[in-house]
Amino acid sequence: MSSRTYFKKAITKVQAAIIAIIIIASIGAGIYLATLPPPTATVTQTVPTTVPTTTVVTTTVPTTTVVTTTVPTTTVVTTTPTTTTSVTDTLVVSVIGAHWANVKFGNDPSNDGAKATYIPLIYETLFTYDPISLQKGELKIIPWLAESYSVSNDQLTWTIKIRKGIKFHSGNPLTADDVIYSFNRYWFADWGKIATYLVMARLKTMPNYIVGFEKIDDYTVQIKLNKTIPFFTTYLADTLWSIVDSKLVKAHEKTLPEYGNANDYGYTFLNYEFGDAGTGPYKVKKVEVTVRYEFERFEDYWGGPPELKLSKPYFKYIVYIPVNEDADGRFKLLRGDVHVVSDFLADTVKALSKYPEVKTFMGPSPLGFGLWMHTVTGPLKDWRVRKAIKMALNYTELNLVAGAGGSVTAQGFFLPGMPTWEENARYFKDAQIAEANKLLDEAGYPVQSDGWRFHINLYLRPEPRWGLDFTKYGLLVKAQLAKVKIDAVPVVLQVSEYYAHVYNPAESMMWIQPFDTLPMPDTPMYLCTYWGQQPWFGYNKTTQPEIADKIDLRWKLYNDMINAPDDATRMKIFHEIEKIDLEYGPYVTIAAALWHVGYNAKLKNFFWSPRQLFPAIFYVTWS
Amino acid sequence: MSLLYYILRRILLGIIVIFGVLTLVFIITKLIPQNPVAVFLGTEGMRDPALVKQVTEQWKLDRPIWEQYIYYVGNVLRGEFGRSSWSRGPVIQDLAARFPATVELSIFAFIIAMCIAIPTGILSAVYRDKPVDHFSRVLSVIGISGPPFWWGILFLYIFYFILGFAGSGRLSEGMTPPMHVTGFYLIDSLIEGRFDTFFDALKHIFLPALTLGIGATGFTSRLTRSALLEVLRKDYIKTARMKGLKERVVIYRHALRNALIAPVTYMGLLFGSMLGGSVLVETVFTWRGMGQYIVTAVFATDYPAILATTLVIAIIYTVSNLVVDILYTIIDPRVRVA
Repeated sequence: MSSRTYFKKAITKVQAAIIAIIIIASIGAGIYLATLPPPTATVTQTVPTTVPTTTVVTTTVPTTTVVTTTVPTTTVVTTTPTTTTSVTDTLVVSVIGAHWANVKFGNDPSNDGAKATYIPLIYETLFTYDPISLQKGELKIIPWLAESYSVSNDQLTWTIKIRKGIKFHSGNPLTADDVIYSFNRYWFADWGKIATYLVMARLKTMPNYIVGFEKIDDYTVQIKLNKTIPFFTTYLADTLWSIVDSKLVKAHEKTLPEYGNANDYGYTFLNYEFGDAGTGPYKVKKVEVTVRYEFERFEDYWGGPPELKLSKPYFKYIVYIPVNEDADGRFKLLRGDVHVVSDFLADTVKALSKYPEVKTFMGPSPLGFGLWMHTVTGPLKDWRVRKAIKMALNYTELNLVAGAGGSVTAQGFFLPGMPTWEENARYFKDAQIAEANKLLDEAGYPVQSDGWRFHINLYLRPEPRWGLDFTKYGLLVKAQLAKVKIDAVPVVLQVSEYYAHVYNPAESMMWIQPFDTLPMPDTPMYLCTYWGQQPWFGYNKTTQPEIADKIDLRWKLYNDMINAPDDATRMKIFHEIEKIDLEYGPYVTIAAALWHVGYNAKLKNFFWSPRQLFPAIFYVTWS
Repeated sequence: MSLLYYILRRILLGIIVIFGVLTLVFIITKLIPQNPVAVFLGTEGMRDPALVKQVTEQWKLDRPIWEQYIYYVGNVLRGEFGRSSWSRGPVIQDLAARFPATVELSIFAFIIAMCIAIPTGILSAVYRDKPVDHFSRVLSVIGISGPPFWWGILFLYIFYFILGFAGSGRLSEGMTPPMHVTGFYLIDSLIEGRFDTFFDALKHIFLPALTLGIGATGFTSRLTRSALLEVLRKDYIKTARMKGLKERVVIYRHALRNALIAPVTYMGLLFGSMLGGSVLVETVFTWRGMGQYIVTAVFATDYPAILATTLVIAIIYTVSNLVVDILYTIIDPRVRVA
C-alpha cells in the first residue's frame, strides 16, 4: 500500500469535509475582516471661522530644514492611503519609543521629564515659548499666564502680575493663590518622605536659591530669591513651574499609610488617577495608561495672550498613541491612521519625502550630542591632547554621514534656533589633521610601535535619541581620530554601566552624551548646579595646573554671567566661557539634533517645537 | 509509582528550582556594580544626602546582604515584590496588567504554530520526499531562519500597509478595550457581548501571533516529521497493519502517539519561551505585554521588576515542564514507572 493511501485512509471523509469547511470559513472571515473599514473616530466638522493671522512656516534660520515633499520621480510601489477625505476632528499623534508609553507618567506636571509630550496641552506656565518665533525656527520665551513682570535691581525679587479671567478645567478661576500653591507644592513640600512613590525623584536642587513665594494681591505674586538665577524667566517656563488648580488638588490630597501617613500633596490624584488640574487648551478625556491618551478641547480656554491673536484650536480631540517601531510608525502615517509621528530615524524622514500623502519636518531641537573627556589622568589630562581631538574631528561629515542629515553642526552649547547660537558653532574647522598631529607631538604622545599614539575607550549608549544613533557617531569619531593615530575604542553600554564610567573621573576615557540646552527651561538650573558647583569631570586647577589662569578666568566669567544685569549680557559672557572651554575644556558639541517628524499632508500650518504640539495646536488645521 | 506521587515529586522539584532561581537572581543583582538608589534618584537626586538616606533606609539597603535576602524572600512569599523603580507602580500590579496580554498572545501563537506544525509534520512524514515534504521543508527552514522582528515588519508591511488588515497594538485606534475581567481581550469582549471588539482584537492578535509562532512552526514540524518517520519503521506498526487495522488508527493511535514524545517536550518549553521571549514581537507590534516590561526593567536596572519578572519566567518554565511531564505519563505510561 502506498504512503498516499495510508494517509487517505488515516482520515475519514467526514473529517476531511470538516477541515475543508474550517479552512474555507477562515479564508472567508479573513477576506471579510480585511475589507472592513478601519474604525476611526472621524466625523465631519465645519472649518473654524477664525483663520490664524500669523502662519509663517518658512524658515529663516539657515540650518532649519523644512523638507517639503515632492511627487516621487521614481516608481514607488505604494497603495492608495485609506486616509479619510472628510475633515477630521481628531488628531492622532504618536512619538516613536515614547517613554510615557512604558512608565506610569501621569498627569502631575511637576514630574521631571513631562515637559514634552501632552503635558503642555493641559497645563500652562507663567512664561512659555513664543509661538510666532517657533514657526520661524527660533526659540524665544514670552509671558503667558503672566501678564507682566518686574524685577528688582539686585535681581532677587520678581513681581509677576497674572492675567485675569483665566479658568481651570474645573471652572475655578486662576488666582495668585494657585500660583503660590503650585510653587510651594513643588519646591517646599516634603516629597522626600514619599520619594519612592513618585514617578521621578523631585530634583530639589534649587531650594537654596529660593526664599519663598508671596501673594501681593489676588493677581500679583512675588518670588524672592537669595541668589541670582540666570535666565529666570526661561526657568519659569519649565513645566515644573506649571500652575495647578489649588482648590482641586487640595481637595484630593491624601495620606499614604505605606509611607507613615505622609501627605501625597495630590500626587495620587494627579499622577496615578490622571486628575486634571490645568488651564491649558485641552483637558483629559480618557486615559488607558501606556496605551492611549485622549484629550478634548477646553471650550472655556482663555485663548492665549490677546496680542498673539491665536485661533481656537481646530481639533476637538487629540489622541496620543505609542508606537515602538520606526517602520510601524511609517506604515501608520502613510495609511492615515496616525496624523503626526515624531522621532523618526533620519533615514526614514528622507524615505517619507517620496510620498505625496505625507510631509516631513526637520527643525531645530534643544538636543545636542557632546563628546566629553575626563581630565584627571591619562593623555586627556593634557589640554593639547583634548584640543587635538577636537581639531581632528570632521563635524560636517559627522552630521551628514552619522546623523544622515538629521543633525547639524554646533560646537558650543547653544544650538540652532537659539539666540546668538552661531557665535561658537564653528569654533573648529573640519579635520585639521596636520595641526592636531603637531599638538599631539608637542604634548608628548608620538606614534608608538603598534602604530597608535595611545588607546582610549569611547563609551556610547545603544538606544537612539530622537532618531539619532550614538553608535554611528561613535564609530565615525573612531574613524576620524584614527587619522591622527588615536585609537578610540567604542564601548556600547546600557545606561547604568555607562554612567558608572562617566561618573568616575579617575578613568581616562571619552563618551558621547546627549544634553538639553538653552533656552530649554531647565538650563538655568544646570548653570547654577553643574556649572557653578561641580568640578567638571576633573577640569579644575588641581588637575590642570598648567592652565590655572584660564580656569580662574572661567570662574570669574561665570560669576560675571550670574551677576550680569540682563540675559542678553549673560549670553555674551556665556560665549566667552564657552570659548575657553572649547580651547582647553573637556567637551565639544559634535551634533545638534533636529526634530524628525512626519505628518499627514492634509495638516496645514504644522510645526513641531520643544513643547511638541503646544503652541502649534493654535495654528494647525486640516484640509 | 502512582501518578499523584509522580506529580507531587515534580512540584517539589519545581519549587526547589524556583527558590534557586530566586537566590541566583538576588545574588546577580547584588554583584552588578550599580547602586539601585542612584538608578532611582538619578544624578540630580543623588546630590541630596537626606533623600539618599531616606530611600536607602526605605529599601533596607543599609542592612547586611543576608538580612536583605531574608527581607526579600519574606516579601516574595507574601506576594510583595515592591515598587518598580521605573514605572513606580507596585510590580505585582504591573505584571498583572501586562501578563494577560502576553499570555493571550502566546496561547494564540502556540495554537497557530501547532495547527500548522503538526499537520505539516505528519504530511511530510507520510509523503516523505514527495513535493509536499519538500515544500514543508522549505517553509520550515524559512520560518526558522527569519528573525522575529523581521517577520514582524514584513507582516506589518504586507498585511497592514498593503492590505490594510490590522496594525500594531491590541485594538484599532478609537476602539475601546473591553471591561477587565480576565485581561484577555478576546475573552473579555465576548463576556461583554461586544463582538466588534472581539473581531478587532482577533485581527490584531493574528499578526503578532503568527510572527511569534512562525519560527516554532518550522522546528516543531521538522521534529514531528522525523519522530513519526522513525516510529513508522517500528515493528509494532507493521504488526498493527498486519492485524488489518485501519490506516487512520495505525497513524493516529499507534504511530503519532508514540512519536509525540519529542515534540511535546519541545512544545512545553516552547510555550514557556513564548511567554518569556516575546520581547521582540511585543516591541515591533507595540503590544503592551511582559516582554516590553522586561526590556524596560533591564535597561533601567529596575531591581524589583527584574527580580519579579525573572521569578515569573522561572515559574512559567517550571510549570511548563511539569505539564510536559504529566503529558508524558498520558502519552506514554511507561514514563511514570521509569
